[in-house]
Amino acid sequence: MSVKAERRAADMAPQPGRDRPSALRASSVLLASHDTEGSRAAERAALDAVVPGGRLHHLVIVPEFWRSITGDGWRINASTEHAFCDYLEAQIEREILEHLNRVNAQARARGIHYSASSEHGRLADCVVAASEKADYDLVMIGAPRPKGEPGLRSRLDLDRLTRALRIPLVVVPHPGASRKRSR
Amino acid sequence: MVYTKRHIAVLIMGLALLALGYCTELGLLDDVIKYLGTSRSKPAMITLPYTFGAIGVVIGLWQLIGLHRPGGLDYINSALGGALFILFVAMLIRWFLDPLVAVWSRAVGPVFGGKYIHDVFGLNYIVLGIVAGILLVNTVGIPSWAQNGVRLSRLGLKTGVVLLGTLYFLQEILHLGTASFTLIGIFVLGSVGLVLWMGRLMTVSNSMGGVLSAGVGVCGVSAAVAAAPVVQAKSAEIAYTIGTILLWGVGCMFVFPTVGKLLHMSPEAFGAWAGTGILNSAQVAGAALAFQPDGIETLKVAEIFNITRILFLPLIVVWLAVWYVRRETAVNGAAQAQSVGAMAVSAPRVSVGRVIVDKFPLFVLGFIFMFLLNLTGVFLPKGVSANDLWKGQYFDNNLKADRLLKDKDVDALRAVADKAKRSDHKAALERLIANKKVMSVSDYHALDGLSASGALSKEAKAVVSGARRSVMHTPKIVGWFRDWIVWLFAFGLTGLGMQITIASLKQAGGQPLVIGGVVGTIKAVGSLIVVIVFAGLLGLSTL
Amino acid sequence: MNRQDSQKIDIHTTETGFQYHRGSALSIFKSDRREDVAALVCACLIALGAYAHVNYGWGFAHLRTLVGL
Repeated sequence: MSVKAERRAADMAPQPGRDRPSALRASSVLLASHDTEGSRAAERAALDAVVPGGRLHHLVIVPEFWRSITGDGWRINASTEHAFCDYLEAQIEREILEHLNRVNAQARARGIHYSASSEHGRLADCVVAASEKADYDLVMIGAPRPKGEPGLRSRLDLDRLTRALRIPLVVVPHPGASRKRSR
Repeated sequence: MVYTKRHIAVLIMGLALLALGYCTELGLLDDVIKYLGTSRSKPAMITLPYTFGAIGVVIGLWQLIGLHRPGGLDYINSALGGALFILFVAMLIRWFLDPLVAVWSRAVGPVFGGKYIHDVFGLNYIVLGIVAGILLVNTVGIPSWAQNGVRLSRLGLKTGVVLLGTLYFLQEILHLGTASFTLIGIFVLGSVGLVLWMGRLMTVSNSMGGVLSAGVGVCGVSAAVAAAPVVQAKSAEIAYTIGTILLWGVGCMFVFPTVGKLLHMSPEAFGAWAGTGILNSAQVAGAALAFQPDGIETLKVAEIFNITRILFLPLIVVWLAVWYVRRETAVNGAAQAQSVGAMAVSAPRVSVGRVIVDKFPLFVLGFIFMFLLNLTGVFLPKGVSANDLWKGQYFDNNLKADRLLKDKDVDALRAVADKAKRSDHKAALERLIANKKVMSVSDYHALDGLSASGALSKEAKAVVSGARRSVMHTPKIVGWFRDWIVWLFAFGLTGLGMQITIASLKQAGGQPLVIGGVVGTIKAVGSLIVVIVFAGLLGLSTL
Repeated sequence: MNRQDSQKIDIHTTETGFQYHRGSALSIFKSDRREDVAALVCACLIALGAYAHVNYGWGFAHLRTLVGL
């Protein structure tokens, strides 16, 4: 472990009363999120964690289920399906750009170098692949949403991710979890 | 990009099919066939594997050693492996798995009111094919060399529907058309309106209301896909809606045939109910064939309802476009100009004419073309004209001696000869007694009237019925068409099963699940009640 | 939304961008109504085949004799 990494590890070690993600400090973070409540919490935590002048790379993954979204609609004309696919791709891209621009603005305000990219495929594999493309200190993701919370069903395979990742992983709690506890 | 994959699988599949045909021909599978009780399928188990095995070997060799360049030929070549794969699965299911399930089910014994499990739940080759497709795609996945071909299943279904046009006769189309336009009109417009109203009540966005109403109201995913760009649906709304429709459709495919069997519905009534109540059009065909795998009557009725729904789709898309523009304009307060024949939304422009032309399913014209071709009598045997046709059958009383009435039959008729009141009935009966067979089409109808008048004894009625049946024949070619249609649908539906992923089913949720569930249930139960109560009025037999 | 607004947002870093699987077979029927026409052609071919079989006895056995098997 390098000196830099050791220092960061020491920074990240749980300390009494400072177990919130905002206690983290890192200079280069890979954030994987896709505009859900849980991942927005991860975004906030990542923005808090990256030191001014540091780097935040935002990875947005378009889940695999979109591949089969037209299911068994056999009467869709080829031209209608093309129109639908074009529309859906453009719509997903529009939503992602909107989301990225919002985070970009927040990052700029904090003096963080922000970059973003998108991948399409299995969530864990995409995160692992992205984590190996640059020298990140850690990866941040949002926790899966608690049962009963609305949202698309596309779970990240945490087991697969933790086995393959070569850098620390931070899982930021879902805001719904604390709501549930307080209830 | 070259899509064809150099893979040995297609060649192996071709060889396996040839081996299957060869083994069947040599009689090596006779014990299996006897155990499964499928001796009637034996000729097909030789010809089909040989034919498609040879095709598989040629394509397999071509894929392995041929030169592949980007272009149309490469696309087709890459898709053929997948098509053969679906067919291979469909054959294994129809000839081996389906009869095996039936054997097991019979071994368990009757469970539901004297019926077997596989019968009540419609566990036949169609349902098993869809289930096998779903299992395949969600477990091991579709092999990469077959993926391109899976979408050809759609072509199989469309070809099946076009070919189905040859099986209808004019009177049938007219009475089914009236019933289907009435039922579909009420339930499509009703459920679209109900979804929009519920959406307003639950304050869902206009785009979600629009895409959901098309999906739930008209014909499932196909309609949702057509409507999504028109009403500018968000990605999550699309995922929720399609997930809900798919989940609902898969459920209906199992529930409808079971309910139909338990209620002892007639093929006609069930076809009308499935055609109206099931959201997704693929599952209408699936449920119809699940209800009646050995005949095609249910499918015929269900598909007329399906086609009627398809014809409603362009109208609904236009309605939703107009509705969406009005609502959005009202919300945004922007006075968007509406030019003649075109509606302006904030971003997209939707042309009414264009939507109708784009969304009109051309293959329905193919269906009509085949129907008209059949009306000309081109498929009838030599010497028989279209005028001799009655309900898809033709009159021919050149009977062999063993098919003429026996003496005891004639005695039974003589015993009731004086009971006939109408002169035409009486004359027809006398001619039947004298000639021991029905002599003309008008006699055929007169004897039907006599039978229905209640003047005949039970025994005489059976004799008349037998005599009438023996002079009306289904053209031999129709039997071929039926076989082809069933195979095309089995192919198409197995391939469609391979496109249903659990990941997309799991997206069912949110408000679409609530609204879709409520409206879907109302539609299913409502159409069942209407079909049962008003069967007579709609011209549907319930027996 | 303008892509230039976010200079560092590289939304198309992946080779395929956001395209999800459409199935290349679909490309055969990419333009307008080819799939429907193909269905009609297939149905006509089947009808023709069945017609030839029923009226002229053409079929599998015939083909086999021709091939010499």
